[in-house]
Amino acid sequence: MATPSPDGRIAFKKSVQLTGPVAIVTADVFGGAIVTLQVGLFDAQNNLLGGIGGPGQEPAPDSSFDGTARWLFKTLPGTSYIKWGIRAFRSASNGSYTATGKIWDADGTELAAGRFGGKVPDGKLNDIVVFDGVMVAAATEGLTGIPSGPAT
Amino acid sequence: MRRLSTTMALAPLVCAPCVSAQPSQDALNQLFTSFDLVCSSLTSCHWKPKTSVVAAAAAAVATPPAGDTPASPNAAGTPASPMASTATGNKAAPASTTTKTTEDSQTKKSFAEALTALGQVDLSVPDSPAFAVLGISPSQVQRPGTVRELAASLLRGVDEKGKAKTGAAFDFAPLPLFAPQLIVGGKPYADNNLLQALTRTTFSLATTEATDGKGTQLAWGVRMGVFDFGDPGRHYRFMMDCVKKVNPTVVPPGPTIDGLSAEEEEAFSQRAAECDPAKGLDLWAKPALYVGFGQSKYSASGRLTGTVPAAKAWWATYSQGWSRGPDSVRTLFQLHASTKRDDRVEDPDDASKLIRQDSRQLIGRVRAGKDTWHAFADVGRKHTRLGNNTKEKLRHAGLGAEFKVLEGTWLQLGTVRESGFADGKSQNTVSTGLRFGSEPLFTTPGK
Repeated sequence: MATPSPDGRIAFKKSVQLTGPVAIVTADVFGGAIVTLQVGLFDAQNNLLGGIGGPGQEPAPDSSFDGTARWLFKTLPGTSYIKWGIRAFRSASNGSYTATGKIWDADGTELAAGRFGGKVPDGKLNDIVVFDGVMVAAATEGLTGIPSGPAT
Repeated sequence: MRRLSTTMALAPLVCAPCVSAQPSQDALNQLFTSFDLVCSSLTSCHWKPKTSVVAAAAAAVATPPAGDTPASPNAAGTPASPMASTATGNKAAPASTTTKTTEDSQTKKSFAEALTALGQVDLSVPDSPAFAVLGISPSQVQRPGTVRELAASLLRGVDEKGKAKTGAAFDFAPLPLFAPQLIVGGKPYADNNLLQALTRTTFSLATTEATDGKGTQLAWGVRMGVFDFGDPGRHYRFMMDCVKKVNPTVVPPGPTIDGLSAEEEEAFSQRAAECDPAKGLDLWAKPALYVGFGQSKYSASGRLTGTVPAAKAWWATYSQGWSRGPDSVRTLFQLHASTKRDDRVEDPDDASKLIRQDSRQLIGRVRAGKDTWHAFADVGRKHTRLGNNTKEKLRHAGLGAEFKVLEGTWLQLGTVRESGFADGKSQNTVSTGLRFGSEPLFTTPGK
């Protein structure tokens, strides 16, 4: 178990029970930054079961369309935890921004949220990546035909 | 009488052994700028040691002594323009004075000054109009990023008796500060011109000790980018497309919040830096219009109440550039207008007094260049009313160019004509010279 983060991240302090076979990870951002979202699904042995934004994976969704980046995952059998990273880039303004990462159940129930803020100073393009995540008790039985992808 | 001021003829004075001895670039530049060739005609010239450039410049921007409503001579903070330079030089010789005034300003117009006046002055709207209207350049500017920081900064700017402390300087953008939730980057920002303008709006506040040594000068200012097609936020797609190409990192395994290692972060930051629209796109060439306003007030007690208005100034600058790539000619057009009113400047008849000055100016400039040459042309007008009855309508036209003849050696050419002095005289200056240094004196658009 990781040390709780003082900046509002979930820091794996929480386990959530998924009621359905999918989970949605989102990141909302205000203050002029754009974020890209990277997500990984791991089993208890830390094996990567699926993810986005890495080599050979689906491209990272970003918040440039409406301020929110969304992705829907199938919670594959053996999924133990979901971990995501948010990297903020300056798009507008040079001030502070806030980003909120959330994990949703398939029916739209918000299961967990972690929030962090940052400041992309003048002349810098990106802020550090911030990782967050939750342990999940996935409802993984009977998964068929549910594609992962951008959540609309 | 026309005077031609040139240092080009000094070039033969630098003998080969001297060059081979590799004197410092500063020493060479000093030598080349130590004398003027003053000519009453093209065939009658003599060498004349130059008035110290530093001394001349200091005289040109000297703050006037104490007065009942003190303000800097350049209080409007209008970027020192060729017109401003001329007017300042002429300020020591007000409209009521005659030939001697113009002669003095001509004598002080050294080669370096002429080149500096020609196309090198900044025509942009001041970043912080409050500082500009006070004529100050604070060494420490507080730029609060949160409301809490702003409140703390403002509290630190006032003493326990409610008086403004001198030397305070604030610069902040209200919208990102008070309502960052309204700013959503990406498409919502790029599609909303009003949001962009408000996001680019900044307020500045400043205080400084009045030149009478008793009171306090306070100023506020606002700067707005009415439109700026070079705003990086409008080019988010370029940034995001690039970022995704250079972002091969994976989510590290393990139920921890540990991020990437410092080395990984640094490597990514270096790759992502190439995605900055300001580096990958010619944002400097995009059309932009910025405006600014600054107002200063004088408070004898230092309190925020009981102030009397002092100088106020407006600025507006439109810019538009052209470029076809990093190796092609880069061109930038700028049109600058500014007005300052109720400024206080030194009375040319009595240096111990300050008198009112109103002025307005309009300057157009085109700059072009590559890495090996730069050139510019500018024209302008400045109307000045000094006191109650002295008026001056200056006109200015200038050309300048700089060529890299060898590595570290630049050939400079410049000419300027100024007319409309109150005494009816005009001034023509032709300057040529060699400059030693790796960096050119003139800046290339986009550099």
